[in-house]
Amino acid sequence: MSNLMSVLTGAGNALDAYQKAMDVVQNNITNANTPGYASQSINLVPQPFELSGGLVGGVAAKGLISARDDSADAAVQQQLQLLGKYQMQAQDTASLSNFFDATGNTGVSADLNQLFQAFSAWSVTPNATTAQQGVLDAAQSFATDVNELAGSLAQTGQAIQGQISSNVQQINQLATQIQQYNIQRDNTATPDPNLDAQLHSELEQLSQLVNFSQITQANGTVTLVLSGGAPLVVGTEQYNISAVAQVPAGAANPNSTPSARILDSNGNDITSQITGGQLGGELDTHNRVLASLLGDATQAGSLNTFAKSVADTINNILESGTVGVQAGAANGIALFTYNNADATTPAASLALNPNITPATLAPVDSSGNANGNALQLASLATSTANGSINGKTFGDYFSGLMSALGGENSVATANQQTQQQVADQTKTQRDQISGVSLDQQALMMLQFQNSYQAAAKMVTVLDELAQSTINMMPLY
Amino acid sequence: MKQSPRLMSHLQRAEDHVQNAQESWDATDLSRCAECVEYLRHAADELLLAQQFTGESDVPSAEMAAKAKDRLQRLHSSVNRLSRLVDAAMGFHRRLALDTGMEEAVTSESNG
Repeated sequence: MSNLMSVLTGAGNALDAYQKAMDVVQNNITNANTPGYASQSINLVPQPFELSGGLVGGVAAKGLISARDDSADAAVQQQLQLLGKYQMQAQDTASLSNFFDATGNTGVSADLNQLFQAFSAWSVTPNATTAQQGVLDAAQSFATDVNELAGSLAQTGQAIQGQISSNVQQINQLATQIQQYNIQRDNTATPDPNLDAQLHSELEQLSQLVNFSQITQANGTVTLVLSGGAPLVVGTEQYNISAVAQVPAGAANPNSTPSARILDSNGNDITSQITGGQLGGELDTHNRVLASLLGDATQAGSLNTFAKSVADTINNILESGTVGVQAGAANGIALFTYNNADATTPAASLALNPNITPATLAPVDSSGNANGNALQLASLATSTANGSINGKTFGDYFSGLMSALGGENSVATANQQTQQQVADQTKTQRDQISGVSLDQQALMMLQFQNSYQAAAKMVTVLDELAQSTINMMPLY
Repeated sequence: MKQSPRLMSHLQRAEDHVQNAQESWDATDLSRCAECVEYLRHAADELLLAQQFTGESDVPSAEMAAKAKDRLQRLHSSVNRLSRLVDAAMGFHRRLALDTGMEEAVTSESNG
């Protein structure tokens, strides 16, 4: 009797282990599409078999084995950080590039050409009111377009700043969720696969937003620090970061567009630590690419340099001449005005001098040539003799400015496309290791089914054979 | 020569195989399931031989017949217990297949 009970006990253990194993398979299938889920299998341990010693054998379930590969997860996170960065760089530089017409048929380039053409027409008939008005109209269009361009770029900068704030908020939310995971994990002895899936899904989302390092502690909790060491989550503590827009006190350009800064929980500037993820891409576009155009605390920005140089050069030429060749003719006055509060204000404030009229345009140069000034101004279209920026004509400088921005966008777009492939491949490789294959699970179920059917058939055969053999036994 | 000892040795081997089958059965391990089926097949072979000897020759004594019957009944009980294990595993499998929407597994099981 004791043997019968032992066998039944062993069978019960095996069934219990089997049920657990099947529950794991079911959980795997249920979570096949759950982000961050790693396929689980049950650790089945054979039990000692010695009936005389009360050891009934069978098999027992001893915890779960996760197919998660930490290095594969780390590789995915690293690739997603780069992808996030390139995505934002491509998107933001595309937004900036949209304000420039690379063909030169519209916008600032076209207006600059029209201004030079107006100077050229004026040089032919320097005293003709039509030609003079043509210069003023072209100058007005040029100034307006430069203003609009500077305004559009500044608005895009504000939009990027808004995205940066939004990303920082998301990062803090994810850090809070991971902190909550740590609290739960700290209170449990064994990892819960579903909780683990949630953690890894959150880590993956976080890696798209920012570059960070992850350390799993002995108690299973996760420590997250930004690449420069600023903490996000340590054990059950979370450290919020914040986004601010600021121009440093005492900056050379106090009126410049504020740069985007990221502060740690103590208020330290950690912007330089953020080089990856969408936040890294946005910071780069805002603080490097956009600043190179509109300027910042320390630099004028190429658009301001352009606007100021064009205005100063034209104004200087006009102011050096006179409105007529006769003695006592009035001196010329400036064609443009702009706010010279600091190096970053000219483009947004460039305007046609409100005091200028056709009659006050000065076509006569300082040597008394009747159209000398007008010719000098017209020559700016193709020559650097009377004015240039970094040895380039104004047109070439502006083209270079557009070209540099286009280059930024091309590189970012190419990087994004390549990185998307790399990230996809890395994810596929990771999923092959730790993901749930429904085909594999289905195949496994069919294999078990065939195995049970074979056993059932043999048991039936044996049952019938044993019974028929008993029936064949003679009766004495 | 009496055939009874050979009958008893086949019964002994059948018992051993069924015992091994019971120990091998692990519904979560395909290789052990296969091993169990193999033991059952051997047990069936031994029982067929035992049946052959029972039919071809007289069992020499009432005592021997009683012993043989007793062994066969124990064997029968063991097979029944194993049958319950296998049935339970198939029940779990069917439930799992239904729960997870793998209807082909249920269909194939029903057809099989």
